[in-house]
Amino acid sequence: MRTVRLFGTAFSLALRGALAYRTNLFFDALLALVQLAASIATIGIVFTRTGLLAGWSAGQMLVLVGTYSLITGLRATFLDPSLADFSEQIRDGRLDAYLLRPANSVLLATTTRHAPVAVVQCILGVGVIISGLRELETIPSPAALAAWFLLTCAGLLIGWATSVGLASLAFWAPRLNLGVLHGAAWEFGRYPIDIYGRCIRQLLTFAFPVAVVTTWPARILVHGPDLGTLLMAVLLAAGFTAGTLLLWRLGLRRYTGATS
Amino acid sequence: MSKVRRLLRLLRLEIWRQFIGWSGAWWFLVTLVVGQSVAPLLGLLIWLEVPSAGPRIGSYYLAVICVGLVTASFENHTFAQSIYSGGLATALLRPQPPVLGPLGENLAIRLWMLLLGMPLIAAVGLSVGASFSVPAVLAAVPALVLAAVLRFLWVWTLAMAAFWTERVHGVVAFGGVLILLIGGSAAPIALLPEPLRSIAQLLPFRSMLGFPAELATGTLTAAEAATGYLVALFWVGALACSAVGAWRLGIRRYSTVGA
Repeated sequence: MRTVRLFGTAFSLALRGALAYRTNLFFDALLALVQLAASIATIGIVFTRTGLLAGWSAGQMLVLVGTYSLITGLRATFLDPSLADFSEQIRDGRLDAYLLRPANSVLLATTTRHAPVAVVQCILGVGVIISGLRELETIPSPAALAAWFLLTCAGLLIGWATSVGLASLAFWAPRLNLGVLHGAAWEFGRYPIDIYGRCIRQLLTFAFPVAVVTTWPARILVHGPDLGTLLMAVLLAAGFTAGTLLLWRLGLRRYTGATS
Repeated sequence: MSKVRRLLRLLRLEIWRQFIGWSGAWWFLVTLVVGQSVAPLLGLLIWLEVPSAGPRIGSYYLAVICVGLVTASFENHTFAQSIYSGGLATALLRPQPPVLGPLGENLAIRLWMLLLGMPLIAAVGLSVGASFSVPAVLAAVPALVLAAVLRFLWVWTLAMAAFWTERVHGVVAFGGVLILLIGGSAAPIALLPEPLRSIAQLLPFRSMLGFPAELATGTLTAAEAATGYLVALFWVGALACSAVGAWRLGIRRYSTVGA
C-alpha cells in the first residue's frame, strides 16, 4: 500500500511538472498521434497488397498495434524516465540516494520518475484496439478481457524486467548501455511473431519475450482465452522478474557508492 | 579556387578528428547501427510474407539498410546540443564556416556506421539471397551521394529548430516518421497505393532512402531514373536554401552565456 502511495505521489508531481509546460505537452501528444498513425498507415499499405499477413487479418493487426501502443505507452510513462540514465547513476554514485531511502530500492530506482504525457499513447492504443474489434465485429467475452488484462500486466512486467536486467549489467560494465538494443528488440513486438522465421520466433518467445507483450494478448482478445498461453506468460513474467531481482542483488554487492 | 581547397582540407581534417574521436565509442556506434537498421529489417520481414511484393524485395531492403547507414544523420543530438549548451559559440568564433563542424562529425559517424554495419549487411544479404548487377550499383552511386546530402540538409535544418524550441527531438522524429512512411522503408514506393505513390515520388523523402535502393536493385526504367534524379536535384537546391535561411534567422536569435 505504501508503494502504491509512493507511485501516486511521484506521478502527481510529474504531472504537475508536465502541465506547467503546455506547449511541450501539446507537441508530445501530437508526436504520439503521428507515430501511431504511421504504424496504422504501414499496416494499411501492406493490406492493400494482401488479405492476410502471416494469418493475421487487418482487424486483428489493429488489435495488435493497439496493444503494442498501450504497453509501450505504459513503459514510456512509468519506466523509461527512470531507466534513461540508470547506468550513469551507477557510475557517478547517484544510486546512493535510492539505497538510503526506507523503501524497496529496485522499485525506487527504476519506477519513480514518470512522463505523464506518454499516457496519451496508451489512450490512443485503447482507441485502436476498439476500432480493430469493431472491424472484426467481435465483442470479447469477460473471460477474454480478463485474460488480455493479465497478459498485458505480464507484458509490462517483462518489459520492466528486461529493461532493468539489461540496465543492471552496468554494475559490472559501467559504460555498457544496452538501452538502444532493448528498444530495437522491443520494436519486433510491433508485428505478430508469426511473420518471423522459426529461430527468431523462439528467441522472441523465450529469450526476449515480446510475444507475451503483443502477439499473445492480441490473439487472446480476438480468439478467447487459452489456459496454456496464460500459464506460459505468467511463468515467463515470474522467471524474468526473479532473474532481474537476482541480478540486482548481485549487482548491489559490487556497487561501491559515490564516496568509495 | 584556393578557398575551396582550403575548405576541403578543413573538412578532411574535421572528419579525421571526429573519426578518431568516435573510435572510443564503438559500442555506442553499434547501437546506432542496430537502431538505424531495425525499421528496414522489419519492413523486409513483413514484405517477405506478401507474395505480390516480387522476387527483388530482399535485395531492395538490403540496399535500403546500406543507404540508411550511409545517410544517417543525428544533428538533433550533436548540433542541437551545441545550441542548447552554448558550445556553438566556439564554432562561431573560428575563421571557418560553422557548418564544417556538424558536416565533419556527420561524415565520420556515417563512416563508422558503415564499417560496423558490415556484418549485419553480410548476414542479411546471405539470408535473403540478395544480388546486384554492377551497372545498376554504379547508376545508384550518384543517387546515394544526393541522398546523403539531402538527409544531412533535412536533419540539420530541422535541428536548427533548437534556436526556437526545446522540442528539437520531437521535430526531427516527425521528419523521421515521414522518411519511414513515404521514403521507402515501410514499403517500397512502387507498392504504395495511389495517390500516396505519386505524392511520395515528388517529395524529398524517397530521394533520401528508397530511390538509390531502387536504382541499385535495377527495378527502374531509364525514364523513371532520370525523373528521380531531377526530383533529387530539385530538393537538394530547395533544402540547401531552407538550411541557409534557417541558419540566418536562427543565428540572429542565438545568445549564449556572456553574449
